Amino acid sequence: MKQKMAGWFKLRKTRINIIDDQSGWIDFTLSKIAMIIASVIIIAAAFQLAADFKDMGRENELGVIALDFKSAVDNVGSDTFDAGVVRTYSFDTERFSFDNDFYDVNASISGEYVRMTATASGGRSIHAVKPLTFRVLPFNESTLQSELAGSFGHDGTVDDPIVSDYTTVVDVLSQTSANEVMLNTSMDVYIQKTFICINTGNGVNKLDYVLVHQ
Amino acid sequence: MSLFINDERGVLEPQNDLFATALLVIGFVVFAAIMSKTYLTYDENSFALENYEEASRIAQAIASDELLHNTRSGILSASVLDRISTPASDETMRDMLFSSFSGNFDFSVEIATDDEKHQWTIEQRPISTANGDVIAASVPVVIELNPAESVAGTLTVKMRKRGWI
Repeated sequence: MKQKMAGWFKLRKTRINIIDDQSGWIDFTLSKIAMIIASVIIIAAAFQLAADFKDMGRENELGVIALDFKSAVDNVGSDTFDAGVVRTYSFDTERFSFDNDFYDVNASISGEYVRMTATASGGRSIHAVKPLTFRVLPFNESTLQSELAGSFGHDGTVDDPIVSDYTTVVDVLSQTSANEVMLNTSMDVYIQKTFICINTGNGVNKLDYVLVHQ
Repeated sequence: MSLFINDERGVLEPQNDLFATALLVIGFVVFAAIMSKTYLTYDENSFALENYEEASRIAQAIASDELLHNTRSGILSASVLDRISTPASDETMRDMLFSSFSGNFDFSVEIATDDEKHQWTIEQRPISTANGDVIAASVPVVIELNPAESVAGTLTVKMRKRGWI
C-alpha cells in the first residue's frame, strides 16, 4: 500500500513538472511531431496525385487509339454510296509507348461500342471505351446472311428481302451483336457497309449496317 | 520591420514551424484545386470536340439519306419532312430514318429554310435540352417546297450528353 501511494505521488509530481515546466521543450517537441506528420501526409498526397495523373495520361493515350478505330468504323457508316466496298484498318499500337512498362493492348467490339484494354506486366489493366454512332455487326456478310436466314427464312439481300416488321429485325440483330468480339490488334480489320432489305408490306426498305470483322 | 528583425526575445521562433506548415498545406490544396479544375475543363472541351465530330457526321448522313429525297437526289423534300417531323404522321418512316444510328446518342434534327418561314423538328424520342451540355452541328441543304420552288436551308443536329459516355 505504501509502495502504491509512493508511485502515485511520483506520477503526480511528474505531471506537475510537465505542466509547470517553463523551458518550452514539450511545446517544441509537439510542434515538431505535428510538422513531421503533416509533411508525411503532404508528400504522400503529392505522390498519389502524380501517380493519378500518370494513369490518366495512359488512359487518354489508349482513348486516342480507340477513337481512331471508332472514327474508321463511323466514317464507313456515314458513307452513303459505299455498300459492298471493304475498307481495311490496322491498329497503331506502337503509339502506346508511354513508358518502359510492358503493355499488352487488346481490342474488342460489340454492336454498341469499341473497347481497348492495356494490361501491364503486374496484371493491372486500364480501359478506354468509345460509343459507336452507327449500328455495327461484328461479323462478316456471309455470317450475317446465315443469321438472317436462320431467324427469318430470308437472307435480306435485294433478291431475297426479309418479310417482317423492321423493328423485329433490328431487335434480333441487336441481340446477336450484343456480345463483345475480340480483335487481334496485330492483324487488319475489315470494315464494310451493308444493306439489309426488308419488305414491310409498303415496298422494300433498306436497313444500313456496318460490318466489322477479321 | 527592423524591430521585427532585431527582436532577440524569440517569442515568434517556436511558432514559425506552424506558420510554415500551414502555408505549405494551403499551397498544396490550392495546387490540387487548380489541377482538378484544369482537368475538368480539358475533359469538357475534349467531350465537346469529340461529339461535335459525331454531330457533324450524323448531320451529313441524314442530309444525304435517300429517305428524305423524294424526287431529286440531294434535295430534301418538304412533303417528306412534313410526314416525319414532330408530331410524326408517318412514324415508320421516321423510325427508318433513325434506324441506322445506334442508341448511344440522344439527338434531334432541326431543318429550317434560310428565310425562317419553314421549320421542321424531327426527334425519335423526346429529349430534354434543359439540363446538360448540348452539342450542335449544321450542314447546308436545299429543300424542295413544291415542284416549282426550292429554297436553301440548314439541317442542324443537336446532341445531348448521355450518362455513360
